[in-house]
Amino acid sequence: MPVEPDFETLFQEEVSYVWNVLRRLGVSERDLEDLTQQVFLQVYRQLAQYDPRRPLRPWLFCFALRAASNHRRLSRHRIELQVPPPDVADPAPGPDERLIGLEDRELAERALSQVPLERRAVLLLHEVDGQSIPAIADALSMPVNTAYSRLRLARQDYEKSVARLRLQRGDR
Amino acid sequence: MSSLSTLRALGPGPEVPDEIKQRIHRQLLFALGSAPLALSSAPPAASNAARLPVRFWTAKSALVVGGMWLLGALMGVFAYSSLRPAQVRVVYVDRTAPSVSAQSIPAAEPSAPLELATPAAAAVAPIVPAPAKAVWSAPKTSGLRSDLGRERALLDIARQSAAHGEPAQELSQVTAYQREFPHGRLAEEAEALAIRALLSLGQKGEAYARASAFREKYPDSFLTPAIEPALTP
Repeated sequence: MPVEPDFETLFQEEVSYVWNVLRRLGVSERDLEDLTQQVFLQVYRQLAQYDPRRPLRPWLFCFALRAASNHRRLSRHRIELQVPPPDVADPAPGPDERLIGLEDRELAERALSQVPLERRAVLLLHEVDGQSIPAIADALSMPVNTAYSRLRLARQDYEKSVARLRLQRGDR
Repeated sequence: MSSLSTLRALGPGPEVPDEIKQRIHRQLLFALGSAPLALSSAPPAASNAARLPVRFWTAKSALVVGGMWLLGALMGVFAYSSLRPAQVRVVYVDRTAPSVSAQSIPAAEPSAPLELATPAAAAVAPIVPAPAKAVWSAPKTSGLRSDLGRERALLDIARQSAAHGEPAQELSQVTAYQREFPHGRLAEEAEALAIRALLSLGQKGEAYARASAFREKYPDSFLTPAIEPALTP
């Protein structure tokens, strides 16, 4: 039987995930700390409603998406292009970074930031987090077909952005 | 490497430095305020339980305020009902004029109608039946008083004819009176009016005869100066 997660453990294990999701959802660097804290505040208050049989990260993703949407509504906080800060990341290259070069990683992050938010959420959950579409539809409270449709559109948007950025960079 | 493969290779992202983690943790504890310092031992349901007394006090306050309002309303109603002035009800009723209407004059002899020779006399003595809807009725009086009233009314009509310079009309009205009230209480006054009417009509002989009879019948009458011209041959 699934056990309800302990909040302290949940915080220690998932704070980096929430931080990165918020960043990829367009939250500016200076607001990341505040919004991460806000997300965990909401998680703490809603923890009794969490169903341990469901995956944790899509559930956390919903809190982050809501916080990022609210943050985005204030135009003064709106930043379209996000560049990952080199000082925040762990100085030692991770396994993913070893597979792709820094330039490709930066290109992917920039292309991702140009995908509309509601599509980007589906794209992140599916392509980066590896969640299934039914799980995403359930977590984001939307029909499965809508989730599929958003994923398809998000991929198109992303690839177009990558192509555009490569042209700007002078690639083939 | 395709663009989507690059995206998938991004992974969950870099780890947040411990320093930032600790800062967020402290902010979280501060934001939770009264929550226990050890986050793991703070069940979220406790916050709902803590709100229950607040709800109770809110409901109690609402009850007290509502009760005070009701009490104030009742006191206001009581004060108004005890201090307001008594209502005066004004009722208007239709009533006929009692003195000039012939309806109010009880007829001594119903079969003997008033003789109104000219339209002017009719105008002076309007015999208009009271409206059927009239609420007011003439007060009940004794026969003696009502007879005197009718006598007075008939002689008033005759006197008004004299004032209008219509001695014939005056004479006929006096004659009608004398026929209706042969022993009326105003017979002395009626006879004096008749003598003056005869003088005005130029019937001096008859006037003299009736004036002589008048003086014999009423030797101390205060109306004697009025008929004096008829006594001089």
